[in-house]
Amino acid sequence: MVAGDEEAASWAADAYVQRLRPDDALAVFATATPDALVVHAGAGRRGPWAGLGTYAVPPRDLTVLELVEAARRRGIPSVLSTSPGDPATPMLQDARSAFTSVVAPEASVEVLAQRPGPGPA
Amino acid sequence: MRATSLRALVAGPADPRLDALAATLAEAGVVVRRLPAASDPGTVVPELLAENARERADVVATGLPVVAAAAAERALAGRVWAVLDRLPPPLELLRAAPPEVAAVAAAVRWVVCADEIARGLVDFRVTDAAKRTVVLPLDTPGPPLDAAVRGLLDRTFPAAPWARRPRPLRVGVAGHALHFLAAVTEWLRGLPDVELRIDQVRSFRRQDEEASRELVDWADTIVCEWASPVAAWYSRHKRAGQRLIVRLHRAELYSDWWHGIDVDAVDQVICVSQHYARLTREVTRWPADKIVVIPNYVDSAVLDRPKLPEAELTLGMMGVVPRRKRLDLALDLVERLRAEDPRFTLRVKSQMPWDVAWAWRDEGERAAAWEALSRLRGSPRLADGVVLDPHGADVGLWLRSVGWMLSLSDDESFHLAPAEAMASGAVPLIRPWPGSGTIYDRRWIVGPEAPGVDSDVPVADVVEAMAGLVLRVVRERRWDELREEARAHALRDFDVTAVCERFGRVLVEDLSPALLPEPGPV
Repeated sequence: MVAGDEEAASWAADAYVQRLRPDDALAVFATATPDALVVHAGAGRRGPWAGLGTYAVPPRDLTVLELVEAARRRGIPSVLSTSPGDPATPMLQDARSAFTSVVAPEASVEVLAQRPGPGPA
Repeated sequence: MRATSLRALVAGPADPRLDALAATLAEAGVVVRRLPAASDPGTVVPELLAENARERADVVATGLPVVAAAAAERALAGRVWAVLDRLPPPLELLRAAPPEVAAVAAAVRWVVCADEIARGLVDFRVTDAAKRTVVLPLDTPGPPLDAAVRGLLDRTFPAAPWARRPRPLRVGVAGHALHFLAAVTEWLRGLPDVELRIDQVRSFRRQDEEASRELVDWADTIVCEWASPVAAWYSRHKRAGQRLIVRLHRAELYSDWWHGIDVDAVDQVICVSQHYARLTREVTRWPADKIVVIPNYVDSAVLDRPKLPEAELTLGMMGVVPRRKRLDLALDLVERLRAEDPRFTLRVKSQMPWDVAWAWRDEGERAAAWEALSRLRGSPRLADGVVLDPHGADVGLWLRSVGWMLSLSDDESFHLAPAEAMASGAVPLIRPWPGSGTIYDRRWIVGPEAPGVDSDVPVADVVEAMAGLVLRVVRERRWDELREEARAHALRDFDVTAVCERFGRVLVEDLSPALLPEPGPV
């Protein structure tokens, strides 16, 4: 999950959440097998993802694009979680179509309910 | 002061923004010739060359094919302003820059962008552009564009610090690595009454003495970048009355490179600080009156950009290898700050030991890196408070996020990072490493009580004093005030225009010896 403390906590009620950090997000994601990659549009408000989605901190934006692309290649759903109070994130808006779905932050239960079941033994 | 008699050739397809730029240049006193609108390089470039042959001019061009063709012309090298119009949408630019931009970036004088977002994306994707991008608000002609154009002209064409000369001054620059002088040689190349030739020596053993002799026969003044065997050769072969300047860096001082230099033949030796001037005097025993100070330079035109909202609470550190840069102290500091306010973040822009062959071979360097990274991921307070950003040329872009720049080293000869950060509008936090007070004003050097320049202050006390200062300034909302003072200091002492002025003077006259009282407050 690419998210701030509060958003990560709200998902943590329904799922095991592993937060990604910009400097090793791709490496960590490559070693995990999550049910979903979740990017919260408010993650750029402050903290390690500060500026995400604004085009003003391109390394952050590119990391998220590459995460979404890596998820697509591995068949892992990517979810953009947005809410009305988020800062303006033109890059994430431009990249909406790259995500599997765009949801409100309280939709974690619905997203997780759609995850694939266990595969054949 | 800006040079006079500037000419610009404005070329490219019909575009009202380009016309506005041409008009603004003319209002700023530049003689402008707008070539007929055309986008075919086969039509435009021959005309540019003909005009330039009649009278030397800078070329302001738009349309990437025209820009690329003009930049490739030797006669126009380094004098093309590439106005980037019709860039791809930002999302596309984030993934990759057009190959034409990458192709021309190293050969142009400026890469002109219409706004900060485009500039940042170009910096990020095109390494060669990162030290050449500027913003001219072409979509808002009028006072904003006028101010930006005048500022850029002042930066590009500082006047020579001498009266008009009867004939051009012939300057030769010699050395094995000349990148530290790039802005100075670029400036000299643009001065109407200077002729510049370069003797780039491939290695000390393979100096082309024939080429060096030609330079001796031709030049009025020779500048040797590095007190090296190349400088030693010039000191033995220069003509009587010919001016010889040698720039000495930390690297040479404790090597035998300088041993062969006949200092009697040298007019002035340039060091970057009074501290190193003193050390040079002690180590070499060269005459004190020949040793002068010209600091390293930064380019405010490239670095001074609007800060992002998080900057006030973001510390920055550039370069953590070798370990004497003291990443461990930076972690102490951000940990201490986050205990008070978890919004504080540290951003580190650096190679890591595994990127640097000699460091990775050094057991101590590897151990220090392992310890720092283990601490980073093991401490809840640090885990979300530190970001390791990639090393790279896009320093101006990176500094937009940084409000405080750390200089925590055990030892430095100059440490450019605080100067770069100050030029960007960030506040430096400098540990009192030896000589720091001979480069940076004492107000930026943080000790436990009154600034203890050159003193042996316990590092824990320094960290505590820095934390106290940052928390106090943020609480009292004085960060903007402080960073404006830092910016003014950088502009006055380290900006490329100020440093070029001193370099210009030393080409023709002796500067005052360095070993004088230290600088006063801002």
